[in-house]
Amino acid sequence: METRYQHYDIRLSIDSRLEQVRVLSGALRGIGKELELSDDQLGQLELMMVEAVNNVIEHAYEMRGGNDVRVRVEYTPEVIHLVISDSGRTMPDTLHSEARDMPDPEALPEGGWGMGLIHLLADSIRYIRDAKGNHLHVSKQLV
Amino acid sequence: MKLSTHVQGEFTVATIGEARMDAAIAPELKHQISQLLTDGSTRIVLDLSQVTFMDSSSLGTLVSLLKMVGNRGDLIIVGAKGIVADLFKLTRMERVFRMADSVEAALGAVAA
Repeated sequence: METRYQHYDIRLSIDSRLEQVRVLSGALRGIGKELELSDDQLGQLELMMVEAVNNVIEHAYEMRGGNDVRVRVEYTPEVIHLVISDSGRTMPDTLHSEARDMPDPEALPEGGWGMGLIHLLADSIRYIRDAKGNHLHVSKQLV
Repeated sequence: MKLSTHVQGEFTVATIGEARMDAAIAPELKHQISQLLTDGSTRIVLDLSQVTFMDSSSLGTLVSLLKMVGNRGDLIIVGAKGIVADLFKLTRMERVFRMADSVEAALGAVAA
């Protein structure tokens, strides 16, 4: 019997430690397989999510464990939204806008690609803060 | 982190035996490859054919290893596919690394 997925709203959470990010990835991959996303779509979603979560752990929480990193996956057959939320340090507006530029490869950079990759892969992106914390919204069209 | 090595001609072929290269294992990756350099293996082919996901922190680690190799040897990346190959392209770092589809292609290109 064919199963038709119309809308899902899935919430995941990990502690703010880098070794836990792969568990989050595994969960996203499981969700993506169940929703029959292509390998390309799933790879891009995973890269966006991992870069965003790494940023939260490294910058918002400054590598301190014991804090929540929350990921919300909102799916419809047309579009998938990821919302990565934290309660740590807010990214300065200037850093957020400047970080979309990729480092010069010839300078042999060892980092600084994270936000640039998210900007390249996402169809839309916005970063907001409210009483509950900081929220990075990224969307990817599926059709 | 699983890393196996064997010598093929003048090269040490180092094969990453992990499906994921991420920020959690990047320091161990750097330690193990830099140990190869310390032990005198300066011509390295790094086989990523078993890797299905890599993040930018691991890419940064590969750049730091490339700097360590410098002019005294080679670091050739082989077997990148899917989102791993995309990561090199999106960051334009495929311009900086020597890359090949397979170990055989890499060694054949060097010999030619």
